[in-house]
Parts: sequence; C-alpha cells; structure tokens
Amino acid sequence: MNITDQLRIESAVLRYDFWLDYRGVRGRRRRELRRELRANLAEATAREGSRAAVLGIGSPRAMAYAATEGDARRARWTFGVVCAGVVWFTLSMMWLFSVIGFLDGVDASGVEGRDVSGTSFPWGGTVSAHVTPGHGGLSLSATYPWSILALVALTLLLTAQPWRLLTGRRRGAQAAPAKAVAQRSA
Amino acid sequence: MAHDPQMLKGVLSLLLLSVLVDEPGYGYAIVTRLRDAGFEDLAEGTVYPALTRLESAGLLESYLERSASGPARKYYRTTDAGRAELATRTDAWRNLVTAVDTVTSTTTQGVSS
Repeated sequence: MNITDQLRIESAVLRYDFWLDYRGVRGRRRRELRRELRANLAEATAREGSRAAVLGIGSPRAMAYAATEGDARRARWTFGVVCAGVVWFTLSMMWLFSVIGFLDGVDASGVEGRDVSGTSFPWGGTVSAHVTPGHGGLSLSATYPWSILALVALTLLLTAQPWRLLTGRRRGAQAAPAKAVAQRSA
Repeated sequence: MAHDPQMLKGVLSLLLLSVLVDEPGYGYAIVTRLRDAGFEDLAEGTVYPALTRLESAGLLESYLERSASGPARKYYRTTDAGRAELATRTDAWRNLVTAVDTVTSTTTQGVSS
C-alpha cells in the first residue's frame, strides 16, 4: 500500500469518525468502528485498489447515519466543544477589534493625562484608556464581557445537545421491556 | 441481473445472519461472500453499518483476530438470539415468497393468455 492509498483510507476513516461523533457515538466505540473500517478498506485496497475501496463504502456520512440508526442518542460533546471554540475565537476577535477602535478614538480625541472609560459595544464590559501627556504612551484596561461567555455557553448547549442523554435513557428504558418480550417469544 | 436496492435492504439482515450462522466472517469477506452468491452489486457501505446494527441489537457478536496482511480483523458470528431471529425471518421470508408467487402466477397467466 503506497502513501496515496493510505491518505485515501485515512481521509475516509476521519470523515466517518466525524459523522459518528456528530451522531453522539462515544469515543471508545468510535475507535472500534474506525479500526474496523480501516481494516476493511485495507483488505479491499489489496484486492481492488484504494479508489474502488473508498468508492465502495459510498458516503461516510450516510454510513455513520446507517450504523447508528435506532441507537440511543448521546450528547455530542466533541462537536459542541469545536463549535463553541470557533464562536469564542470569532467573538473574542470582534471584541478585541472594538477595544482597539475605542483606544484609537481616545487617542484621536486628544485627551491626555486622565482615564477615559466606556463600554465596548455591543459586548458590554468596561474599557478604560489612559494617554500619557505628550504622547508618551497609552495604557489600557478592559474587563472581558460576560455576554461572549454566555454566547459560547449557549453554542455549546445547542450543538452538544446534552438533553440527548435524557431522551436516550428514556428510549432505552422503553426499548428494554420490548426486547425482553421479543426474547421470551423467541 | 441487478437487484432492487430497496428489496435488498429489506432482506440484508436475513442474509447476514444466514451467512454468519455457520462460519464467522469479517466485513470485507462477508461482502465478497455475498457477491459470489449472486449479489454482485452489493455495496460495502450497506453491509458494514448493517453489521454494526445487528451487533448492537445482540444478534451478532464479534472478536478480533490478527491478520498477516494488515490490521486486526473484526470477525462476526451469529449469537443464539441471532439464530432465533434468523428462524423467524426465514419463516417470514418464505411466507412472503409463497404469497407473492400465488399472486404473480395468477397475474402472469392472465397476461400471457
């Protein structure tokens, strides 16, 4: 197996893993499923080539959905943390630019020798700047706005969907008696 | 002749339980076994998730076995619950075939006469 074959296989395995995670499959189970797919693709590659092997499995998304069909759902913590991280980084950058804008405004206003305080819009949180007389320097203090942390927490909540733990448990409890009946009748 | 994917999906569990009842097998080998049996257009992407679902339902069990040619293979075999399910599904399938045959043979006679 050459490097191109390995890259093709790993790309398919990673995409499969992403969608398994999206479907709330736990880390250990995902590791098992990754290992199994990798072994099957290696086997298929030896016989048909990696292109045909990867084409044979079709869409990793569809495969992950099919593999978890009817399975008790779990919270998608990894997906939630990634989304919350992206939101935190984006909002923090926007807040930082608004603070820099405030600082530029203070500098341009020509006020020197005293503290100028304000609120960073629309985030909230106070910003205070001090321009040393004679343009000797600028000092800045700012409090990180709670609104950003609240939005990050909200993103984590909406994307990880921890309530799946409750609905999954409830579904499991409903399925258990049905399974017992099926086994008794068998 | 290509099989109808929807019909194939309906009987895939029956085929897998049947194939694994006497001889354990791993994902790709099961696909080739079914292809050799006449399901040439069977995709791996259909079989692998079906194996995972049957294992989750307790109808198949698995174990790892080392392979000389690559990573360890995950072998599946039918459990006792799987055998019971296989018997039920086989009966259901035979009943369906009989009923469909009864209807289509009458219709075919009408069409040909």
